Amino acid sequence: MSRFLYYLIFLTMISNIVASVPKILLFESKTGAIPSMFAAVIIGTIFVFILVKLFNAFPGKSFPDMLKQYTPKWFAYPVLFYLFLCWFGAGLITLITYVFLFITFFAPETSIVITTLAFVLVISFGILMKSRSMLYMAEIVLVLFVPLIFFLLIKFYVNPKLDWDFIKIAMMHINHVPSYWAFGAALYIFMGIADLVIFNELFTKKHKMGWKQVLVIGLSGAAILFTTFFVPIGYNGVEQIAELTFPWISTSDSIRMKYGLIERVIFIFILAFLGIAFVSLLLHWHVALKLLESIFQFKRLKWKDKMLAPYIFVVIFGIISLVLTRKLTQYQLFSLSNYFFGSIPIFFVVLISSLVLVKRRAKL
Amino acid sequence: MKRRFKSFKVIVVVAIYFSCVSILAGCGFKDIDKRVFVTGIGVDPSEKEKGGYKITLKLSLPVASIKSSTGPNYEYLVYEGETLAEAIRILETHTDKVLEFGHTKMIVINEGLLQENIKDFMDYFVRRSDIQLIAWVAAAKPSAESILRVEPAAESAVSSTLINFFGTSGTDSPFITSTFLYEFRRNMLSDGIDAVVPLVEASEDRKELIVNKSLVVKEETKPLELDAEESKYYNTIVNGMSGFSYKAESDDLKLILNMERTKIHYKIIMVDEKPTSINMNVKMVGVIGQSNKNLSLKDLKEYDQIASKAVKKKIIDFLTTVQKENFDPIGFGLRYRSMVLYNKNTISEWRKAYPDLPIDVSVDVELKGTGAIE
Amino acid sequence: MTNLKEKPNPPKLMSELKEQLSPSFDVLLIPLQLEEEAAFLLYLKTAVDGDKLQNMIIKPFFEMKSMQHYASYVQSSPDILEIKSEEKIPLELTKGSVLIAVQHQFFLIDVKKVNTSTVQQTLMEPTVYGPQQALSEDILTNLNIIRHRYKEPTLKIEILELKDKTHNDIAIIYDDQTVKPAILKTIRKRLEGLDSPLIQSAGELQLYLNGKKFTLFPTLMLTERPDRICYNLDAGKVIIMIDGSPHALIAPVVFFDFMVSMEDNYHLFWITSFTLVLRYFGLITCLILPALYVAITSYNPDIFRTELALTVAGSRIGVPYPSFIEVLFMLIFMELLTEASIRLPKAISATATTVGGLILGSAATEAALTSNIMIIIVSAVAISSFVIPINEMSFSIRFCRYILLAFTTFFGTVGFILGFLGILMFLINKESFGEPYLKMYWKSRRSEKGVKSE
Repeated sequence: MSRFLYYLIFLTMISNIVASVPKILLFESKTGAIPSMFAAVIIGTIFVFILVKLFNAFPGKSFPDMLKQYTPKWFAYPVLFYLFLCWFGAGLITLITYVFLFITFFAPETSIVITTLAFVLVISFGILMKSRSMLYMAEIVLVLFVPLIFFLLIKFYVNPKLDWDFIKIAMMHINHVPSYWAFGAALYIFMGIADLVIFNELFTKKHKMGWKQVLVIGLSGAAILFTTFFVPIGYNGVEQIAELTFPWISTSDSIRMKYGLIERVIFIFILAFLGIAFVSLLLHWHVALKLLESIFQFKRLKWKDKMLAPYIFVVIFGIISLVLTRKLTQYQLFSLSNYFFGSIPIFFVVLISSLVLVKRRAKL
Repeated sequence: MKRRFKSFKVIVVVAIYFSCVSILAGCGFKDIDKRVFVTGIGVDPSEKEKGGYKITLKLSLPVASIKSSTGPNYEYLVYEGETLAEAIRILETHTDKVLEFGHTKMIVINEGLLQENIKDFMDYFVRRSDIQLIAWVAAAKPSAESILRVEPAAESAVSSTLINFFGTSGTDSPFITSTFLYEFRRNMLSDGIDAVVPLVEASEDRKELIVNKSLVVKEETKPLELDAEESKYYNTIVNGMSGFSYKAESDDLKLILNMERTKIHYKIIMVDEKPTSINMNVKMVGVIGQSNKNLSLKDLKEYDQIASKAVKKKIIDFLTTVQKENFDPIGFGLRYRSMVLYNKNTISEWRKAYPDLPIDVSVDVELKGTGAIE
Repeated sequence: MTNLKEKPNPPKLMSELKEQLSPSFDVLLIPLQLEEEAAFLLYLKTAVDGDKLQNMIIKPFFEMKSMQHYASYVQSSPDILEIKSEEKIPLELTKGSVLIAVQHQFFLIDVKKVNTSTVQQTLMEPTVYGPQQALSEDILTNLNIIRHRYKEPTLKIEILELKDKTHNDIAIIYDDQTVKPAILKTIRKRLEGLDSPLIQSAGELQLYLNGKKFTLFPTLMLTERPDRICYNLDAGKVIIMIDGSPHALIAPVVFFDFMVSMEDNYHLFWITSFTLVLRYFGLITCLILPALYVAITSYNPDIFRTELALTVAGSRIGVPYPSFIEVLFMLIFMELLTEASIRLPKAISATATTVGGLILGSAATEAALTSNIMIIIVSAVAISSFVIPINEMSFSIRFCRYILLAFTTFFGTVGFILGFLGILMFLINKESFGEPYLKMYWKSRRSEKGVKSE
């Protein structure tokens, strides 16, 4: 497997922390989050395996091209539009959640519009870049920030104040029926592989997908879900964990670096995750933009040989996010993300079945 | 010429962009010298109204030059209000600068407040996202305000004595309990463990602070005061604190032991998922610090025995005192809960059983030497 | 006196050429005459080397037995140039050739005089160890230096002539074995497409080769070090040289190339690694420190430790302006100081630095115009910007930090990080002759700098 494919997967895995996944999982901590997580790791890994295998059949081709080539229009366009909505939603939720938590913990005095605007300005420049640059960007940001996050995670685990009794108590809640919402949220961490719908264009070689790769993805997914779910419980207890609006951020404030340049880990944590959230947003919206471009091709909108359509789309993206961050309340965001995560299993099913269809038609 | 014109256009676009942005932006901009840092918050019961609070804010003032300044520079803001939020809102009008709570390291609460409605005011500290969750929480006697106002002579500019007591950055002693805000909240709200906070007292002349006692806090109950000796045992058991000095006596031999390492394991013995007893294993490694007689190295084993016996007695004493009052600072209840699969009755079952549970302690002291002399 | 009467007439071509070049004072048409036989020389006195002319052309004329011998002597000269067309002759004459007419035959021989062939000391990229000599301003000398250092038969040198008024020679140098043909093609195409009226130096050539009008980061590297040239030749890059400039251009380049000093190859592994880390640290410091100051003092003072926050707050007591004006003010003064000390003669520049740096700095804090901490930051930034080995990159980074500063001032700490990521993104999206400008290279250290690692 190309290293860039791992980046796509790992980035989404890590970014779950700033995408409300922990909030939803912990909300369900007493009603079946643990079995749902088990289910998500197994099913998610299978999905990743299937998707990579399916895309292997079409090296160097993007999903919109495949779909348009082998399926009728009435099928291709709605599917593409549905996929676009999913990606746009994923990016939007990451953006709004991050802006909310940043405003809450980092800069309570700053206006929310300004913070969003800062994001939108940089992001709009970013998603217009070449797809190849996107992968390089992902690589560099991972190299810059993941060691930092890894270091922080080690700090979280070795701190004697992490009370394993609480974690064990939480584990004792295993005797529940899996909850669908928690399952959807946990499945989010495997969504990164679906970025292949656009990035498959750049991978001309077939990906090797054997036991080793499956094991790496499954285990790291399990480890990340474990950390996401249990570390906040170890620091904040079982009973009142669901009360925290941003469980992970509050948890990161529980660590103190006595001799560090910056004493409060929360700042390093938020800033490191800013990088991760940014790249995850970049990838999601880049894919969303490319999908949208494949649906609506305004050939007439040109100015000096440049297609104007992408620029218009980007402006629309920006306006939507500016309006939504202003309008949404904390609760609405929570239920919005809940519904979004709930739709992830459907998303995987749609993607996989249309790929299977394309593959069949291509053979005919 | 064409080139010139183009670059002119770009400059205009950039200028327009930046001026637009600058009109929009900059509302969070506030310079550091327009802010004042709150380093400590004290909460006392109100003297005027019933159920109200008296808030004391300790403000650290910046010093222009550390070398030339003689001592710390503090200011205190005091206000009484019905709730914390209200009082602090009013206090914001008592100073020309913005109150910055990001550096609040110390939350001092009057001893008398730690029994009723603890949630009520603790809620404010956690909800206010700019207050650190790693602030230290302490109980104060006689009042939070008087403790915050103590300015020891040894205090230097831009540092705070009270904060250095806690954690291990300053003094490091097993008598001092250190509790973070998040830890306090977690343990207080969880079933099966009770929070412990240090008790800070001021000396007679109001010049020194003394921190060697602790309070076990449980909602809706009068807190249990642990004296210095008990606090020491608490810290040993929970935090494995080292540097633990300890007295052992037998017949005519008196030994003071310095412990370097302490390891504690405990578990709940269950029959049919019902707790029957608590089992605790203590392992200590240390040296002899003081003795009233000449010692001989080959008798170390014997001293081990004497020490083990004495330590065991003390620990059992401590645990049973606490148990008798129905407090659980160690978290035996948590351990029990972590051993049985969740059901609705787990907690009530434990509550019923705990006060009468027998406690077995086995202590194993290993002395490494007799110090510099025999 | 009789001889004069027999003075033979010069060929028609020569008199026409003389006509064409006059009224320049230095056009000379000289007949060489020995008994019955005569030859004619046409040249520009200021362009040719007089000694060479005397020894190579004039002396043998009188020593040869016959005109036939002389003609074949001239013909076999190593400096002979082919006469492609009559229109080209004046241009060759201005470049320093002599036109010889013997027995109705014309020969063009290069006897140009070059005053710029002295090899200079390395000035811009000095090293402690390693070669101390740089390039000269004469392209032939430079090519000689390269040939001398890189003795591979696969080394190819192509000479193009600029179409502008200088008619300077441009050399494209590459190693046939390692170079990427696509890149070579792009470079040739761009060079042929040049239509600027006057190109005098490698720096100027670089601007035109960039392909874009507004560029912040250099996509070609200017160097004066022959060892860097050879190092890059080996890595498969293309070197472009222009006559009259002591610098060579290297293309394509990636961001990391600008952070490499040639000294890195001459030191021990750990020392090199240490200096490399130091350099990147300097790069980051120079880029982010001013913006970081604004972010921390004006938006998030709670990031600091309490003690530090109080000290910073204390040092800002009485400073009348908000932090970003303070930073901007000090940075601009520092830039002025740097600019001044570059442009001034060496003897004076030391004074400028002292006056500016020491006196201005301490007086500014004394007058409470800036805080002490600010002075520390500005000096740290100034020093660290000099750590970047290639000057052009240092300039680009210096510019970038103002962008970052603006972003931070407007958007706070989030703007600071996003601005940084934005700059990163800009670099990643940039290309130098089709090569991505910034990306991670995971292969061995040597090939990291090369193109062939793709």
